[in-house]
Amino acid sequence: MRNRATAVRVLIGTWIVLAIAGDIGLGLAPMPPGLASNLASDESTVIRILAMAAWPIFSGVLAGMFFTLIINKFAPSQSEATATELRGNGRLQSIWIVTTVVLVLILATYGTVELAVEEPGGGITTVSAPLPQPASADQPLEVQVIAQQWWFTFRYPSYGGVETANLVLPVGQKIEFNVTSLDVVHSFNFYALGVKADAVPLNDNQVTVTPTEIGTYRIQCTELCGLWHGNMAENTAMVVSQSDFATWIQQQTALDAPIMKYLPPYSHTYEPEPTVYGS
Amino acid sequence: MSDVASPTGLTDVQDVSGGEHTLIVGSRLAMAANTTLQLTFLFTFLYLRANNFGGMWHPSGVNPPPEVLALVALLVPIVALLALWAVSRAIARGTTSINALLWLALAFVVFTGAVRILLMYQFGWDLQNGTYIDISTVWYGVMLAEFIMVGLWVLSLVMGHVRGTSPITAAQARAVVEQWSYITVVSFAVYALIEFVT
Amino acid sequence: MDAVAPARPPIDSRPTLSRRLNDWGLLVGVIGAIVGFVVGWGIGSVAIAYSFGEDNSLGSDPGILLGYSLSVVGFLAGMGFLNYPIGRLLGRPKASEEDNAYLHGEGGGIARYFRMTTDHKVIGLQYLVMILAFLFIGGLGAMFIRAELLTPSPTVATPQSYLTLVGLHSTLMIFMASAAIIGPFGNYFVPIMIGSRNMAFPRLEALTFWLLPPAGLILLSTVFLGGFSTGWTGYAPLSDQNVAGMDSYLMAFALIGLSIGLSGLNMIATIITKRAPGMPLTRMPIFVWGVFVTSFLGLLAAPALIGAVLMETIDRSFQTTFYVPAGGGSPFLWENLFWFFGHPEVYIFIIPAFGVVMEMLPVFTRKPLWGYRVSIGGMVGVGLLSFTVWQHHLFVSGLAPSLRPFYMFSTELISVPTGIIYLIALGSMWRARTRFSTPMLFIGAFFFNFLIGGFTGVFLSDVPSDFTLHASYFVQAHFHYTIMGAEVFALMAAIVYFLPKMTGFTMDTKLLKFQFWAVFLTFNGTFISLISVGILGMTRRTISYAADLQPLNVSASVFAFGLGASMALFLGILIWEAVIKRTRAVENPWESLGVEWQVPTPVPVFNFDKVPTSWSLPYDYDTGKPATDLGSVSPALSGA
Repeated sequence: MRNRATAVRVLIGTWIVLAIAGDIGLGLAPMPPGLASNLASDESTVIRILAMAAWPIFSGVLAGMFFTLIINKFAPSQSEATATELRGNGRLQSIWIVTTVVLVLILATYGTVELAVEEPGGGITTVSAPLPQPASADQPLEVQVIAQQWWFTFRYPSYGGVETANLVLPVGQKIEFNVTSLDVVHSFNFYALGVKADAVPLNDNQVTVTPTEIGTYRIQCTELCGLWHGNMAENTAMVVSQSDFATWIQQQTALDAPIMKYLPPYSHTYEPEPTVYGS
Repeated sequence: MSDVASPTGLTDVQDVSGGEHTLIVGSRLAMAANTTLQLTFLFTFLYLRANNFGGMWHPSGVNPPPEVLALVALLVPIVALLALWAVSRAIARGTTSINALLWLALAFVVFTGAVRILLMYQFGWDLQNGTYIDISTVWYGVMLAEFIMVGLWVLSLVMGHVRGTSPITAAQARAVVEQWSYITVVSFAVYALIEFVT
Repeated sequence: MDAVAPARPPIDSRPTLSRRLNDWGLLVGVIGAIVGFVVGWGIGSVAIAYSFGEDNSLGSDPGILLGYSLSVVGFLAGMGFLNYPIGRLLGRPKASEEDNAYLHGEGGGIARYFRMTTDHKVIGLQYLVMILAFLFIGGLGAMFIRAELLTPSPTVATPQSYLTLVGLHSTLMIFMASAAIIGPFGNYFVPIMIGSRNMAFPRLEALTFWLLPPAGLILLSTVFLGGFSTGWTGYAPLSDQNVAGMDSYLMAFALIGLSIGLSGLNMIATIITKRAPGMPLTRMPIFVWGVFVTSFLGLLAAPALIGAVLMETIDRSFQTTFYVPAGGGSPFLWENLFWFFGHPEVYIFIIPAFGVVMEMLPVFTRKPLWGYRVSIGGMVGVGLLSFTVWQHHLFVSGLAPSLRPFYMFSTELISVPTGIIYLIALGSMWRARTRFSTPMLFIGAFFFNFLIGGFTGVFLSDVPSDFTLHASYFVQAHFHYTIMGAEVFALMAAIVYFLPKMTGFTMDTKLLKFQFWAVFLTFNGTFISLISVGILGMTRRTISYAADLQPLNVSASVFAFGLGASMALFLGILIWEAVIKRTRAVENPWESLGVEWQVPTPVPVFNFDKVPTSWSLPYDYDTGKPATDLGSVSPALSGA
């Protein structure tokens, strides 16, 4: 019996060391998707907290299970086991269930609070064209993402609905992405900003985000959309300073001026292209 | 050896190899599965109706199915149900000379199928003219298929009984009555939705 | 053996024509399928040409779908499935005892495995062979996919062939996984474990199996029709756009759905009505409970899939607009219906694995199953909750953001009943002198892999972290950990464990222990690499990816090739030991107390000569008493 008690103590000690060391590591390590926007750093915090909460339980279950399997190979006869150890232990079962329920409640509450703090997305709002330019960094700059097979285009309704092939965003400015599609379901993924929003025809999917780091990033489609889905990552995305953005949007407006009259008026959703049936 | 009570009431090899109870349980499970299928169409109906995407739920110029024929299509299976129910009662009482009743039930079962085929033929809808038409057509089609399937079951029971090869048992009669009443009730609900919640 | 011989006339030595045809059932069925396809395709094409005057009516959707449908009908008719129903419709006499015995495979020899047979044990073995074939073909697909992903841009495949490959791999594996444990072991052992001589609806059971080979072949035939580019999720309206290869997917999926639903119905009816005396629901072996819960999921979820697929088929063939936005339909409708089926579906994979693992665990820990009742509660809880979580697949879809907290909560709640399974495992292992036989190694790996699968699931259930991880390789690795790491490992454990009973041969060799370590290490190597690329933002189902992710992808691919090789080694050992070398197994090699190990090997055609009586749960390893009285058959373990 003394050997067993020692063994259990060693087990618990090992587990505590493992759990603390792991959690320190998880607390310090960089977490995806990084800190390039408020949304991304939120998500990275959530992932960190989930990982730090999960690791002790994960390592505890594994350590307990495999320790139990191995240590009892050398243990005295099983006839010492009591009835509750053999067939079940109501109290232990209740404790386990209550504990897991409490953990889940904490997790779900935390997630719900996180959601409530974030700007609500989704749903269709009416468009009062043309939109005014945002007066301050807290007022959202609306940017429309139009997905079609197999590229994205972007429209800036506050700048006369100018349409561009590359995404350029001013740093520190609150952005409201309005994601829609012209044919099948796509998904707009700006990984570094922590933005992922499905583009569904006749639906306007909204995500609000404030980029905080200047740089050039990768955007891609993350919902299988047909033949060249894998190559739907060729639009470049840049976060630039406010002044660079102002220069860029002026150039774009000038470039686009001749074709503006051919573009459809700005709207949150567009009539989809007619579906070509298979055969 | 079996002084232990059997939870299923079966203690004998013959009973274990196939029981009447099994048929009723199986038939009710089929109803449960059918319920999911019906709920799938109900969800589709309500979802498309509530969202009315692009105003294409019910564009103008779409009429619900012909009301009188649809009502007839509801009443005929009720008569068939009454006949089947009478069969079931007779068998439960031990009467075996019920051929006339069986033919009557079968006639109305066949009539049910015929009148529903006629009803679908009378729709005269263009399938590309809105989702109301799509879901109504598919739903009526599925109901027709279900009436035909249960109808074939009735046919096999009737043929076995009148030819004397396998007289209808009480459990068979009960199961088929349950199944027929279930789809009749569902067809009422479908009718009410499609006729009035356009 | 002083067993009472069953009083039944011997099989007639002068077979009738229908019986001769039935003896060659598979061949006649194939001929029927070919004839059916040609006739259906011809009629469909002519009808299309007649009503629309299309030039290329031979490739039209209605023609191909009609061809597929009639080929299935032709196959089943050739197999002899229609003889009985048509006979009943014409009022012919019910099948005689002798006919039933013939159909059951009595005296049928090896040929009964290639025809319609109503013996649940034959069907179990048929399932096993088919599952392994699907697993092999799907695994080859995975090898091609990993070969392609060695480089960040297309090399061996074109985008279309790559997407078809992805679709075939995923759909075949979904087919395989939804029957992997319940098919072979549920069919083979549930009737024996509950002390029944047969299933409730033996013909239906044969049908649920024989729907699957046509489904698999129809799915594979997509390569002749241009393939399909939607993956296994078949999202509309991309599926409307696809060429005729999509019809193969839809037809195959409908058949699979039908098979899952019918198998569920049959299993529930069997378990409810055919238990032996002395076996209330609370005394059933835990594996039977797993099958019971799973069957309810299959019965109640599969019709939603069938309805959704039906509407998609009509969309494609008759230009309705259920899922077409331009015509008033909605892609969200498909997503909702599909995942309403799809999420219970993944528990259709895993609950039988829970059941079979908990069934085997006491045998190797030599202790009673710890907490039997609460483990039932765990499985029932998973089953109930599985119907309430489907929108967690749609967190980023823009659908109903206000509902996200509910789906987040219900999804996280599932970790409570799955946590119970871990408590059961811990309790059963506690102070046990575990025997580390090969199945036990696979069971240990099952718990390890499923724990990773479960904890990665938590990150996906939480909405903010899901924004980063959704549709990335993190998701892909998560469900491979649960399906491959848990279910397929449980499948391998069960094959090693049950093979001596099912065939009389053993495959438990030293090489198999090496195979276990190979498959365990390469599996984790592969999918830890894929978890990492997923966290770094690599998205699923793409043939091209960011160049800086190549090292991790190469690592995943190399491990995956090792994984493929070790899976092939498993199949090789199985075939070598059980088919070629035929190493005889000892009777009850694991010293199990289960009733399935008390009946003789090979199991008699109708399992029991007398109705057995159940006394207790079959896990009394502390006292060593078998739980079931087989009457005159002496228990193999009476002195153990």
